[in-house]
Amino acid sequence: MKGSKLLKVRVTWLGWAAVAAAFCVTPALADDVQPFQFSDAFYLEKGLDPTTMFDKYVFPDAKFSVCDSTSNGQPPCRTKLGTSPDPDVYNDVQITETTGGFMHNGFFFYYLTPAKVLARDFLDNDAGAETRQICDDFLAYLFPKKDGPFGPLGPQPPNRRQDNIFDTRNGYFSNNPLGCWRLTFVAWDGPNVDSSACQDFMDGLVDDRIKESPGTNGLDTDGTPVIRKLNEIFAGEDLGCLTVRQRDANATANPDFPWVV
Amino acid sequence: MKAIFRNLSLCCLSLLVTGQAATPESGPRYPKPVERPRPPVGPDGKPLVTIDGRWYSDFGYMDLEQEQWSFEGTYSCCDGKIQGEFIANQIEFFWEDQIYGKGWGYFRLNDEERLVGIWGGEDDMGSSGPWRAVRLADRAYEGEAATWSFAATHPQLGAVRGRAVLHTSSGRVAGWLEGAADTRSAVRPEGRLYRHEIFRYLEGRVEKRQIHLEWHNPLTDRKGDLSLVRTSRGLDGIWHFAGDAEGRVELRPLSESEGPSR
Repeated sequence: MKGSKLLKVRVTWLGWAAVAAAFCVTPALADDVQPFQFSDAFYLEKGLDPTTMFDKYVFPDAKFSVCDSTSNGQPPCRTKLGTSPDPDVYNDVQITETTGGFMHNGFFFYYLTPAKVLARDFLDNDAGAETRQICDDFLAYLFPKKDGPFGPLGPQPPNRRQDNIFDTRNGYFSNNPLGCWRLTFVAWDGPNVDSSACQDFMDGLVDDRIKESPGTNGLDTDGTPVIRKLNEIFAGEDLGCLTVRQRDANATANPDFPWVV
Repeated sequence: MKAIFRNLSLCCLSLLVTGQAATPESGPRYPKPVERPRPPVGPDGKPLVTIDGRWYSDFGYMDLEQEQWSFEGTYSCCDGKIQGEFIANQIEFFWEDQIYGKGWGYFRLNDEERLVGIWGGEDDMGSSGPWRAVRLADRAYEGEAATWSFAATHPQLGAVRGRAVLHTSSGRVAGWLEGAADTRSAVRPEGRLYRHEIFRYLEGRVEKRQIHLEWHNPLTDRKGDLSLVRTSRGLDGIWHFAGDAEGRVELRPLSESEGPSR
């Protein structure tokens, strides 16, 4: 029963993304669908320790001494107080930051990152093991710049040569209740990247992007083809054009978090 | 000679079949060379757009110096340093200070008077929030200027101190005030001081001993009013904010040397 309520709330929010994608507009999220932080009880139920997760969005925002949701002279807040749409799942903290990427099929996808996860955060119980498996199975693909300021495993926006792709297959909307992702980094530095097969593959991607978005050159900020679909990553990896890397799952330092919720 | 003729024939045949010259294998075509697109320049090659100067922002005053497509500067809330560059119609920057640590951000310049952007911490995958700024240019005012020290109580920030410059002409008053409040930061355990800057344009009228001013925050476009009364010590009164919030205000005369123009 709880699962179906959760699904309804999440699909309601994500429905905005689908509508926006259909009409190619950026949705201004109405107050009643602005996403909420998960409740501590829900994190615990799903096997994550809410007290140890790094940069979990709370209100007042732990990152700011004084903030003001109206930005009336003080720094802006990343969160504000609302009324939980479902106290079994969410608390009253509304998250005001939303960002965008692609679903597995290239459609637009809007998301938020309410917490970052290290291995220590998974509880040593069945729920923790199950959520760890889910987090490992659902991959968020990021595309670091070749010489980005934060290195080959840096997820920060200035480090990206294009937007992220999320593997939203395999029942994401019902099977991944926390929206947990393993960060996965894709680079054009596979062993065969200079081969004619890879170069032809890249030509094909550029042609596809130009057809999809006339007037663009189909290239990312590194001068390599923009990737928008999951199967393009798989094909590039199979040809030895792309390398796919992940952060150390046993990382213990906060900046090296391998997963995000 | 025969060999040369045969080789030439093979070359022509190859061209007919493939449509391309049979050249030695060329290098990889990707990555393509990428030129960083820049905003337009004038006949002298210098940028038509500049962000030089003082800005009032979500993180206090920003003082920026631009050199061609790069810039660097400071922001006052946190003794911060900022540096970046123009790329196409966007400004990409990195910042560092004693309160928030360091991180990244983006601005866009609107009408050459407003910077609208976002910022994130070093490890942030997404924006931590907006970072907006409005250019503070000198304005022309009519009438004689008087400079005042400014002390007030702000409903959220507590004690605010600074100065105000008021120009009076034919019963009209216009000018600006700038003040700051220091609060202890909860970001770092050591509780460093966070400086909240307050800048407002003022405009109103004089009626005998009373001065009624409307204040305008150029960053947020919020407005409120100030009601002042002349006393033997200067100007005393109340400033009003949205939601019936208010605080006491005292203005005391300063010498001319303490009041540069804005």
